[in-house]
Amino acid sequence: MPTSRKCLSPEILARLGGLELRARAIAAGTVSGMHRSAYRGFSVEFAEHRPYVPGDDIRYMDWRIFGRADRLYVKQYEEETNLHCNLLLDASRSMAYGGPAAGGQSKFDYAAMLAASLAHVIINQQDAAGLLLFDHQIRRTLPPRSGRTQLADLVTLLEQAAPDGQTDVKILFHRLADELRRRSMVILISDLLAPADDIVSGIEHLCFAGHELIVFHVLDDHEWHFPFVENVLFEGLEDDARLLVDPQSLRASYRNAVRRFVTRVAHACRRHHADYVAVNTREPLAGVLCGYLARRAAATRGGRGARRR
Amino acid sequence: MTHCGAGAAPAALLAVAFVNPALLGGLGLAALPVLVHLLSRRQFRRIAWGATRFLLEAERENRRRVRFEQWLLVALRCLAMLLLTLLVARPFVQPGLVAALLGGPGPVQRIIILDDSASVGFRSGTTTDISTLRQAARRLLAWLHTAAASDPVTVRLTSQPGEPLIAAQRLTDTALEDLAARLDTLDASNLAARPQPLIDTVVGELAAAGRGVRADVYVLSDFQRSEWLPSDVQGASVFAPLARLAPDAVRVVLIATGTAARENIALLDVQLERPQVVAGVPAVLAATIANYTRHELAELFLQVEAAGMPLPPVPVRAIAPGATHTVPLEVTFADAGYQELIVSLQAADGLPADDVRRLTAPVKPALAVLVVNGAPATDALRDEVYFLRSALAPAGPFASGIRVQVADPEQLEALALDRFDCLALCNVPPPRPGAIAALERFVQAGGGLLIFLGDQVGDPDGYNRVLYRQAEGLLPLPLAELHRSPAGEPGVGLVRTGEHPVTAMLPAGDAALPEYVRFRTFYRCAEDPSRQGGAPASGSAPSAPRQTSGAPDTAADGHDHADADGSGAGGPSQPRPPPVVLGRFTDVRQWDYR
Repeated sequence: MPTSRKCLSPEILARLGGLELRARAIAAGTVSGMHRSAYRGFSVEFAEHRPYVPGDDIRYMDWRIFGRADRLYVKQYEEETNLHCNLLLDASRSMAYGGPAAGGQSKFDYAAMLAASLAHVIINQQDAAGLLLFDHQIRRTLPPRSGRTQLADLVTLLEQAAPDGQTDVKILFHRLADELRRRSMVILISDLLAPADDIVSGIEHLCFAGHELIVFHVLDDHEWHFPFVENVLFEGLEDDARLLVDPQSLRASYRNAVRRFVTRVAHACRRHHADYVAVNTREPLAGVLCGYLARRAAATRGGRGARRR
Repeated sequence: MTHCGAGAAPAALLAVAFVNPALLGGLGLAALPVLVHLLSRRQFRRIAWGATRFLLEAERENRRRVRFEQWLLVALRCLAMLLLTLLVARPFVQPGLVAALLGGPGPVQRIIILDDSASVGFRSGTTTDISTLRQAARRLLAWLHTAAASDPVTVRLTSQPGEPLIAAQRLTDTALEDLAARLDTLDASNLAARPQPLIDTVVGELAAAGRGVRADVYVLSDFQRSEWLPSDVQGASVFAPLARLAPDAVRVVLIATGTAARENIALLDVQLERPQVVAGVPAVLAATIANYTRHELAELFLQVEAAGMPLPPVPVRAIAPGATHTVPLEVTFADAGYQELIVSLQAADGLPADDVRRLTAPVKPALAVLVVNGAPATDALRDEVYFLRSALAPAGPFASGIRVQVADPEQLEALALDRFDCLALCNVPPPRPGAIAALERFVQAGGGLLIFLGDQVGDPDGYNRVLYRQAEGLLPLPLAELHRSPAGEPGVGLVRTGEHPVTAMLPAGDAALPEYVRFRTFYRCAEDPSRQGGAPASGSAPSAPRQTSGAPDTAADGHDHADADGSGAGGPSQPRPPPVVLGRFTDVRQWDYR
């Protein structure tokens, strides 16, 4: 399996061993796998009874009910299938920012490692992972496939990519939602530096299209906390904005603005059963990813157990 | 002290003063925060930033607040600098503000007058009057500091009426210490106290302060009668102007700090008896000594120092209590120029300041006398001016201090007369108009002129026409007819009816002159037409600038001589007043001719 020093580190992979990324909602795979399928079938997981209609396979007839109630019912089972996961990675210019708290590592590098690690987890569990790099448009696409070569291709694509261009999610998310016709898991890794309305609208569109959405909101520690002290002339990475400010006087308001934005996006995600993960690039990637996967696995098991009961 | 305020009476109440007004220059520091603010805006880091969205939102929300806070901060910093500067400058509200706001009568101006005249240098035993005055002033200031801390205090010295030690200043701790330090160095000046201009200054200031002003004037002095009760005040107090200013509002407190009974001997005056001082010729001075003690003074000596050379002490005869005595002194200056003369009294009294007098004498190398000879003779011994020239500058080892030059009447116009101190016209015919003009300029410039008459005079009318000129010329009186005493008669003696600075200095005195000096031929003096019923012209007034002479004779040897050539005859038995002035040329005063 090809590895990359940039996107995949042995330490992270070692910590990710044994972890799975299960689809919380139903998936539309073509082969049997570990995820619940959107298609009802006759697998091992009992789903429900329905009255028998001519043409049904009599192997799934429930004879016990017929014996007790003299009615014909057939058993229906949930089919478990494989997962198609699309990793949407923001490669706009704003992702190039990397503060000293992250050791100079840019948000894009961090996000690329996150995407590669997720792809490793997904492919490692025999599911299909694809990559889609975007800024204000879709720059590069790698359709979801499983297999180790897919991981190698994905990592190569990540290594070749560099942050550039502006973020315009208003049109982009809708195009993505239209392009991903098959319901799948969509993992959005971005700093989401776009109007909140556009972000929320895009999220809703993706979720309405039946995708299971996970949003990794990646920001640098400076962008989260705005710890500057001296006067700073901020020059926009994606626009021509030049703003000379006294950071101390604006810090509280800046944090409030960030908090409002995060609250709104997180609320939209929650409303559409999508996961929102706030990521600070200062925090070790392994910890962030392992923590999220563990929380998600626990939540998924809990939800399925409750449904079975 | 700097005052700030506007308006009239309200401004006086609201005036603010500063203890250290020079430090107000630090107000410029108030601009420092603005400068720092503007400079800090020019120092910033540059960061390429992605999350400008949040930044713009925060900036939009806080633009007004941040701007307000920034300028508020700058304003507070400026204010802090201003307050700091004002704190260092130590401002204070003029006394009376609080009282005025509360409807009170306002502050009382405390004016302290310290007499630092020469008389307070009097020593009695181990203490001096000035030390007593200093102690009293310190106690007074300490009391004011405690009891009237809010009142403005002014301290003035009699020696410096226009320069107060402090002026209308609240007596803070620092001001009190500063004043005490200045009092420590206060000593008696060499001046007499002149309270009147000082009181006038105080009255002027109080009048300028407006109506309703209240003041306490404390006067610390030895209150010498001659200074505080001057004769020109004629019984009225020098403080009368203060009483007239505001009888109920101005109080005068007299604090006597002098010794009650003084035993003092004073050298009142030293004056030159003769105004002309010539190098190498003894100058006569008069020193006046006063005995203010209650016992007779004996064994008193005067120490004279001329041009830095001490002379032998001069003994002074006994002086009765309260009496004055004038001691003649003879001092010879070796060199010409301005020479210093110091006369001191060797007396152990309590006031050394009045035991010494200093005089600066203008010493001439010689007196230049021009003798105009109207009848020169070939034989020098028979010349009319021989005796006069010999008397002025006798031959021999002793110098008279007079340099004589003899000239003809024709030379008068050509000679530069301003080189001479005195001119003697000896038996000259009536001078020509040019010579008359030169003589008048000479006399107007202060030169001395003596006129000796003789046979060259001729008709008195001719002389009167050019020299008397209807009382506008050089002669004080017109000449009348020529009188000749009959043969065998001794002639007339010199008669004087009043003092003359020339004749008064003759060693023999006025009274001896008629006995030894006889005139056989002389011109009578006509009545002054300008005088009506006046006295006969028997001499010139002591202050007359013009001096005339008849035929003179310095008859110290007792021989009868009536004119300069010694040909006079005896006078009449009844002496009549001829216009005669005899004199010593060193007594010729540089008159201020008017």
